[in-house]
Amino acid sequence: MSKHANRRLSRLTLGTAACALALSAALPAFAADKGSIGVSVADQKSLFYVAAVEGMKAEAAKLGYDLRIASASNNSSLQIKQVQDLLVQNVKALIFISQDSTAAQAGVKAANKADVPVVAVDEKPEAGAGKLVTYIATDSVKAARDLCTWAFKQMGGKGNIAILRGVLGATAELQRSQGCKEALKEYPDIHVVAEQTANWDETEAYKATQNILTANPKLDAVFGESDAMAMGAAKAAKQAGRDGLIYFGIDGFPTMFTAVKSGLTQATMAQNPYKMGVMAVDDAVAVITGGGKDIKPEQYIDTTLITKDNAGTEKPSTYYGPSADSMQ
Amino acid sequence: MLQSTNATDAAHAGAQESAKERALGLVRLVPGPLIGLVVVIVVLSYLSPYFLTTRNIVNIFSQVSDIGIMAVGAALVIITGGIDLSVGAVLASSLMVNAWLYRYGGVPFPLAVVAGLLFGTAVGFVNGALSTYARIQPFVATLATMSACSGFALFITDGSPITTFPDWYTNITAINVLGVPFEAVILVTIYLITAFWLRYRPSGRALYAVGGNEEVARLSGLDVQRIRVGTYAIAGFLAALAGMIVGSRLDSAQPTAGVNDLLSVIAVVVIGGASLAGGAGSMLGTFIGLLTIGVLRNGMGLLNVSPNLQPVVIGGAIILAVLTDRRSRH
Repeated sequence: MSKHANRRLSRLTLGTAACALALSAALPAFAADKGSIGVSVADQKSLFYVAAVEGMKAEAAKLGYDLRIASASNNSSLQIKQVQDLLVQNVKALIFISQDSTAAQAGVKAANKADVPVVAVDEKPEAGAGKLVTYIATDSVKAARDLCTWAFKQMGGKGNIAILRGVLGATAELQRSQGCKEALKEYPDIHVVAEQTANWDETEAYKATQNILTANPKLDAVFGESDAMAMGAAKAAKQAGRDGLIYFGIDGFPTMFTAVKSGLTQATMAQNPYKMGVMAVDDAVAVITGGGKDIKPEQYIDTTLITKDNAGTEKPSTYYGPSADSMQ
Repeated sequence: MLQSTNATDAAHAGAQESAKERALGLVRLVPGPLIGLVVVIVVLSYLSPYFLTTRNIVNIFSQVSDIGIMAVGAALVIITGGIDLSVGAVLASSLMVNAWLYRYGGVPFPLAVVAGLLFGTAVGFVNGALSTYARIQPFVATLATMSACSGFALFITDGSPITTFPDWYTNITAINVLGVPFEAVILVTIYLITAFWLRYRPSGRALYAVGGNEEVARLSGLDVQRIRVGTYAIAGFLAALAGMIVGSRLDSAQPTAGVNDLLSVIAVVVIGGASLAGGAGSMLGTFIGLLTIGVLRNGMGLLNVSPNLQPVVIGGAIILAVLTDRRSRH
């Protein structure tokens, strides 16, 4: 390619980029007159966050507020910049699902400085890191504790389990591990014979479970700290011809509902991100309109245990919003 | 099997040559990575009673099949002096294209599979075109396509997986041929064909020429740019094929599949003795590198080694392998 053509190509690329920018700036031209609420979310890959944002959108549309949503693709320094950009646009409140405690702290501080009320969802800033209207989340420790207790009862209070952990050090991984450890204290005859990480990923869980099954001829249950990992474990055991094990996960994703119904896996704890999104907008609006004095500083949403008994009657859309039923 | 060096070359020892020198010559014949692999296998067999069981060996082969197929393409690209960072992302995006067409596009499944493979090949072509005709450094070009493909994989379904495929597709990873899992057969076949091509076909040998010295290759009449583009296209196709294996294994297409595979793939190729400077590397070496990583991971899983410590061991293995391999150091 000649130098000349090269220059033409780069000019074309620049032109396209400029057009795209101009277009995206022109898009949210019909802001509702009540003002806008900023939403900063860690990512839009995980179904949990997608569902939370769906809930926010639905509620904001109902109340006539405009939402400005920024997703940070799991990059905490990018998220801090996005929060600052939202604050520059004079949002009246900030709903904040932070990537980690680092981003949380800096984001909350910036919002406090700009006098914008903050509703934190899912990830909590460290204590003393600024002022929050409220913090809305799943009590992951309790969810894991209840789930593991249910499973240990199913096992008759004795036997061997394996635990597949999420990304090490992630808040959800730490809390879910802690919850199951608390349940283990009550059941001295349950032994954890293997503990590996599979980074929330189904393929990694499949491979890790193959090895765990090989090394442990006597295994009664696998706890996947996410639904994807529990399903990967169940499929690996199926392929190895091992049956009669109990597989349980946490999330309550639509695919897991199907798996529990079909008997591939035995249980999950369904979280309620859609409802969290709705509540976050309600609280933000209450504060904007001068109310919200009675909002509790911490609001924990209970999870629901999904087993073969209720997988047929419960609907994924209850937890993950209207679009979830089509994903089964 | 594949032989990396010819035994007769070293066997023409003169009468004056001492026994010590002859012994050293014999040691040099064994590829460096193979010694490491044998040591790892011996140690693990000693530590875990389950390691050398048929079931476990079968598991190791099926566990490495997806990484292994991607590593073939990555090795070819690295031999020509390039690098392909997009393999993991191509795996995810072609898998999602395939699943989406089948589930929401109403395309019959076999056609959807072909479309997925074509998509991967097309991304490979783009990688090749960008890094040759558009003169973008391969690292940068494939970094860009990696980003685009991983985003596209998520965008297609808004991040949710697609599940439940036809039985014949899930059987690919479930059936055995003469006691050997079919995915292992596919894996070894790809290695054998590629090894044959690299060794005995002029078009295969041309890869070493291009990677060794581009100017000389050009002057001797090779169409360097076409060879490069072709190599990237093969890498894209193989990444898509690895995606089909992953989808078949889980009976589900995950948009985040393969996201952590890139570093494993590069590690496999490097442990196998290929040089990132280009012009060196072999399929036998890559296969040994693949087994080394696979055996280490499997063994650490069997021994329930702390998950935090596992990447440390893998890192150490890479350093050791490269240090003991005289040919790939510069």
